Amino acid sequence: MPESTERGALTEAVFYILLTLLKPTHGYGIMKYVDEISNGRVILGSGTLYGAINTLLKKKWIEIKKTNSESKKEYILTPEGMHTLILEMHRLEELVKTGNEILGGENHEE
Amino acid sequence: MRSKVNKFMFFNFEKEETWLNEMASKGIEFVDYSFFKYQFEEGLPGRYTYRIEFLENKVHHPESMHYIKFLEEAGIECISAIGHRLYMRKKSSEGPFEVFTDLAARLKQYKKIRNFTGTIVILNALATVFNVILIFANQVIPHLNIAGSTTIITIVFLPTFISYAKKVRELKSEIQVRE
Repeated sequence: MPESTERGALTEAVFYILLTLLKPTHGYGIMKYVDEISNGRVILGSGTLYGAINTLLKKKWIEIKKTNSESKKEYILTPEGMHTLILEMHRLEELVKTGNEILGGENHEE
Repeated sequence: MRSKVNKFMFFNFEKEETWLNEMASKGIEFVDYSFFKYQFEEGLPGRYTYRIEFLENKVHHPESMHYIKFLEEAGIECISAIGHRLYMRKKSSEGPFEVFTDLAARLKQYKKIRNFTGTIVILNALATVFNVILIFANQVIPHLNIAGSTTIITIVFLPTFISYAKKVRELKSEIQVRE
């Protein structure tokens, strides 16, 4: 029996945002960091990032880090977010493993 | 030095955005918009990337204000706003500037603009048809300025509407295979 019905793939943007938020980071920092760790392949649009952050806050996968100063808002991963990230890592590993088994093991050319 | 350019361009935001970025690449930086008037300042070639976004709510709505604050914290300057339309720029040296990088959000954005343009086209086309009927039925010439302008608006907006509708269809099929 499936444990949960919510086991769909995460979007690339969400995956990278969650990875970034292992450390508290503000919006600008998330954009910069994702650009960096993906070697410039993944660009987070401002609207896309804003939408994703709001959805992730609602889902409680991330939360606003409490700061006493009036500085920029920082976000951090919650235990629930961490759990989701680990599940996604397993899913991705399985994809790569299956792909390798089928593609890597055989020669598909005649 | 400031310069003003009058241009009837707002009906196609893609062309408008391309134009603002072309100007910026020549060092003519867009700084303000009001009623078909674009204000520019002399600056440095290629210093800024410009983007236009259609917001969910009007600019002064709390939700929009919240978003604008988020943008400014992310190093994006909100230059000008009119209705739901927001003009933004970011220093090119601070990395690429895109608004929507996922297909779902791009689809939503294009649907919004398609519906907005579609409403204008349909209302003006109806008015045009109504005026034509008036002319033939009553042999009365309706107010020509009004009849003429609804026809012109229909003709100007129709190709834009069709291009947005096409874009929505393309994105819908793309979303079946990608995110």
